[in-house]
Amino acid sequence: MKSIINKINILVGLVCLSLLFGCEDIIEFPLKESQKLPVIDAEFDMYTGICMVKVSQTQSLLDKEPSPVVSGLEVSIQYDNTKSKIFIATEKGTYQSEKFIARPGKTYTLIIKNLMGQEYRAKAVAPNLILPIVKDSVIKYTSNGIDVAFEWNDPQNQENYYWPILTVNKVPKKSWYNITSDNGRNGNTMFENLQVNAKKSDEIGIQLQSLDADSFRYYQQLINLSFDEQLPYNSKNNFDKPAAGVFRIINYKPIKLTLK
Amino acid sequence: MENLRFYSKHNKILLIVFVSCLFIAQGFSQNKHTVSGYVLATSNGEAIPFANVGIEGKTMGASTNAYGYFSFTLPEGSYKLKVSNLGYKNKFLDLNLIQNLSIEIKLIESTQILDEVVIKGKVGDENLSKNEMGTVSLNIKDVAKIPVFLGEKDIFKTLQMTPGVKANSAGGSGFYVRGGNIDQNLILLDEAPIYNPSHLFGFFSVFNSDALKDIKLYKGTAPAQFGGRASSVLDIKMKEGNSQKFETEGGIGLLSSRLSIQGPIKKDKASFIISGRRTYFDILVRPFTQDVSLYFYDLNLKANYKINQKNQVFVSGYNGKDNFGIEGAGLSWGNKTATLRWTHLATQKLFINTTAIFSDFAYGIGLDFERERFKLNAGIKDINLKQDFNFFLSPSQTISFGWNSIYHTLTPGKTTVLDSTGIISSSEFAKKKGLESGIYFSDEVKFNSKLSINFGLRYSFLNNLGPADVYGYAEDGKIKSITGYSNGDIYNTYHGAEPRINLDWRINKKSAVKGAAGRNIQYLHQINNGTAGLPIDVYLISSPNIKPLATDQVSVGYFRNLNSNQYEFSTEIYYKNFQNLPDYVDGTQVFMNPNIEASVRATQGRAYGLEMYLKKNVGKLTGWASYTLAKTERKSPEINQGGWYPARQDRRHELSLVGIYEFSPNYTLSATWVYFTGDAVTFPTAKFNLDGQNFFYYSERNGYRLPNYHRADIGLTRKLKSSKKRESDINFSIYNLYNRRNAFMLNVRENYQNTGNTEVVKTALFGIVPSITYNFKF
Repeated sequence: MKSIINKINILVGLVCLSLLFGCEDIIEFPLKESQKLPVIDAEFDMYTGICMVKVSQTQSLLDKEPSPVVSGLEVSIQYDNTKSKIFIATEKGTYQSEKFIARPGKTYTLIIKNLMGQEYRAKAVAPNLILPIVKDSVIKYTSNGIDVAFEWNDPQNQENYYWPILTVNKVPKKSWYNITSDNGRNGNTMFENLQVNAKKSDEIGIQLQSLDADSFRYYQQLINLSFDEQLPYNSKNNFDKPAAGVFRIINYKPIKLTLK
Repeated sequence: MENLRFYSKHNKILLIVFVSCLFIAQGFSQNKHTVSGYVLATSNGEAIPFANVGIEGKTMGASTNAYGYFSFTLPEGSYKLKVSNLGYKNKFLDLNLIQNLSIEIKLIESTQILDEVVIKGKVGDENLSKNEMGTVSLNIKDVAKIPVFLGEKDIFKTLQMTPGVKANSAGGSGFYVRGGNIDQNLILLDEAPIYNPSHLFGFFSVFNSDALKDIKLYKGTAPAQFGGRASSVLDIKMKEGNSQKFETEGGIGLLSSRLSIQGPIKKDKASFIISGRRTYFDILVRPFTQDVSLYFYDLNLKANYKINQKNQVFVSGYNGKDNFGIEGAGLSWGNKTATLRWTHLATQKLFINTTAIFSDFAYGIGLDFERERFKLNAGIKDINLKQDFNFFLSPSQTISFGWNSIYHTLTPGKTTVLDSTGIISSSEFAKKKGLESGIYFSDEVKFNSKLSINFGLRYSFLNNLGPADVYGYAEDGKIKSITGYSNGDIYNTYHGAEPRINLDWRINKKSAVKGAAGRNIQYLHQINNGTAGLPIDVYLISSPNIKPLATDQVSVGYFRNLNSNQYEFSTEIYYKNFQNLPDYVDGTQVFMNPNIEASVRATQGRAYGLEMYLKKNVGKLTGWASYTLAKTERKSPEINQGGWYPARQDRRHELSLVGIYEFSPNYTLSATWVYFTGDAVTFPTAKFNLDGQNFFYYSERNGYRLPNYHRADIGLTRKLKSSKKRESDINFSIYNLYNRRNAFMLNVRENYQNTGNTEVVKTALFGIVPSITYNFKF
């Protein structure tokens, strides 16, 4: 259903574009500035068992430099009330946990200390693993690359959120516009049709990533904002203090496609 | 059950005033006879609402009601009756009142009189003598003379040039009244509510002016018979159909054409009108592309039958639809209404209007993708029954009372999905049902030649009806409880008093001071989906999770006529307070969200302002100037640290100039100029990078202003050869004469070529737009 809502947004965007086509001017406009805030991009990959956290700061609107990263932080993840894993800095502003196994349904708390003098916490619930079902007949070669259709069975009586991704030579080709949920199709077969620019010799794979609810909502709101800026707002994330970014947990098992 | 309390002290005061007024009325009760009847237009036999019927040289008199009926009782004797209305020549009748009298008075339209007569003739002072303020009455002939956009005459565009009424966007058809939101306007077409009054994404209104007779906007305290909306009432009456002769009129424009036919079914007994229009943009582009479909049409129908002197029935209907399609995606929306009305004279003094009304607004979205087809239908449907009683107690007192009951059915969304395997799955969010009712009473009393009071009380109710699963929500929006109700169960009730009062103090022949105060309660809400002009809003009805919206408004005005009423000037100040304004939490998925009520918050609002209006009514040059100074604010604990912040429609200054110059019998030149300061908008204050993509961060709601807006339009109408039976003209209009690129919106975005560079992009909708229309009548 989310994909349908995305498509409705596309329709709305088309309507606006068709009305406004060819009427744009870039103008001088005095933009205000706000205080800098932390930007936390944290992903716990249940397949690899590694949690990676990248921390930077918001920038002035007219700033053309890359986002300033934040180093020297204490980062850890807590679970099962007492257990925790301490992260190490792998490069400036990037922190990584050791490998550990996460269990679906459990809550994991990311803790970042000394970030702008404060402690930031975010909780996320590990999602279930859902496997895609791919039939040979729905893999097509097109002039633009490869078109892959696949489906999966959505578990009943629970809310599920998905991010279907194709990989080319093991590199994920992500598009946030493909995130979807089982809203309106709970317990039914769901399907997706993705295109990727690839050659016949490339290794193509599928990752049907299950997402936790908060990160799904965060990305969904970012997508909606990119279509409709009539009443802009900040996407709601799962941090306990004002920050941009989100702590997400993804669960998937990569499927390698056999192309004939 | 929850009661919206009003100050009981005020109710007692109203009761005392009412009882006093009845005693005053009793004072006039010896050797009296009643004169009553209808005021009609000579040209077509249509009833003229709100015309003045008075006794020359005395303060006695009355207005016709909304259906053109008047009645008053006078002591036996001889009188000179004066009947007047804007746009008509005054009529004088000698009466020798020795018994009850029932008459039909026919007024001649002023356009049928030579210009010189109009210039020298007396002009009425209805704006001073009528006990009402905060109203705008549009003369449909003035609407036709004002420059048009793409050849379409539009009453909304004209209304937007009057004080206190703001366009929702440049060129758009929606409007804000005195700080209220768009859904706080009750728009009635022959008493049927129109939920979405826009065609073509808001650039035109759904009202075909060829089919309209009377347009009146109440910005302040509307008569007690109206209820259900918090900010304004736009009461539009359709023509009844010419009962004297057949008449055809229409227009052919570049993008649309229209045609109306009206005439007697039986002369002076029954008549009809049928009026339609359609755009043909889709037909024009068909040779170039089959992928785009964009058109609207609408059809108005009305017929009436005079059974006898005491009974008349009317039936009217409207059907309009918009269709937009592009490459497998389609959006359509439309309103349908039907009104069946019976007017009955129980006695000469008691006029009863009984009406059954149906209204349906629906929209649909269709998407046809390679592996999936999707269809969504949503909307709102009303069935409304009402009765209005006008009791003409004496020449100085008219009592009105009545009731109405509306059965609302809200369809949040029904979806059908056809997937690649051919499986059809369909789901429907639960319909919401409610019964909104009201009883009212109002009394208009003229105490003497200087003071008149019109006060009223409306008491409204809302019953939420099953079948329904009613959700209780925790503060974080999670479902706390679900309670099921069966069909017809009443699971929640709201009710509240809506008092209102108007005072008119006539200082002298040339000036008057007026004051008004009132409360309105609104149970039905529209949650705007954000994008201007698109008809995909979600409707909600007050429920255990959404409290009714209430507004209180106070206004005071000074009215003065100059140069023998040829000029009228008015200035009004108002203060309006909004309680329980529904607004949704940022980022809420408005569409197809079964738990939308969990995200709706009750916020506060306030609006205040000064309105000035100077109008020249007669002569070769007519027109008006209007100026509004206003401030509109909102307050919510979750926005801008809980402080007051500007509402989206907060526009500090607004000036409109309208001039119509008839420089010869065959040529009319018209021009308008509008200027307003920029609307409040939200822009980012920082940016951040996430996973390689740049996004914006916002720290303040509506902290910026769009650039100021100004635009001039001009129109020239040339009458072509005409005879008694035929007339035609050609209208040439230029919208945005000096091609000002006004900002429809501003967007802050990342430069496509140089990512990391932020730029502000102004979107201007229309540059200079010429249009030509051929109009005919025979």
